[in-house]
Amino acid sequence: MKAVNNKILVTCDMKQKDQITINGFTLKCANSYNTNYRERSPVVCSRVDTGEILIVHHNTLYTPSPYHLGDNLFSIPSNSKILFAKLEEDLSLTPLLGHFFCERVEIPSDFPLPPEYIKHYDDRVRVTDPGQTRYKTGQLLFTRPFSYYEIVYIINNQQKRVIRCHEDMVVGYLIDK
Amino acid sequence: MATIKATNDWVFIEQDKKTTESHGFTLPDASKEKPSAGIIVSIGRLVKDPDIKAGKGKRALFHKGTGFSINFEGKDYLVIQSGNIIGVS
Repeated sequence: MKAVNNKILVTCDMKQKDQITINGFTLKCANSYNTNYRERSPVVCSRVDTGEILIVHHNTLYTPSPYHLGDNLFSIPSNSKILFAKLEEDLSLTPLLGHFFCERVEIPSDFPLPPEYIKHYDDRVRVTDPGQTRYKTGQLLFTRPFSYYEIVYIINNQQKRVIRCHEDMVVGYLIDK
Repeated sequence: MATIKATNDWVFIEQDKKTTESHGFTLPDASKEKPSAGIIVSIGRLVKDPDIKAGKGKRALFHKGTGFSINFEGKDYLVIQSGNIIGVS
């Protein structure tokens, strides 16, 4: 079967976040009590036609869902709201469809602070992987407030995190005069 | 020195500063009326309106409460979409 209307067929291991190994320790996720859907919902899926491994939004791969076709098969729209990144063979991520990867920018403090007291700006990010956008690595971008989103995914039993933002959310950048 | 350049259809506006009210009292920030005018500092390349496009340095009038503010190097900028500007003088 060939997917049409800009949709793609993917398969997903629904139990990918049941158990994770972090620094050699295997942890069982208590799904019944864990309300953080970003941490517990599956986001990694495999494209049926090409075999590519994709990272999608955490509200996409669940049952019952309008995208669910049966077993572990899903038909998801290929748009920037859902599809974020592609996993390469070296386990690095490539941002897709106007997304770029970034890091939060710390609010400077006059005193050295412990990590739990460090605050970050909600309206600016620093680019770490520009993907197909016109921005450069290390560039400071101003965005709509809270427009970045942290993806939590598990590969080879390792929990990894990356922060993504979309170029439509960028309101400005810096130029040198 | 770095300056901000707007993208898409966003416009950066330097807000008017009003230190005292007409009755002479200085009010706390939370009680102040939100500004509805300011000087256009930067215009995104997807702005379509020709008057706004050529309006850098001019005063813009906009609806109160639109957009959001960004503080950079001690200056407060109001960031609004070009469709929310109602006049340029």
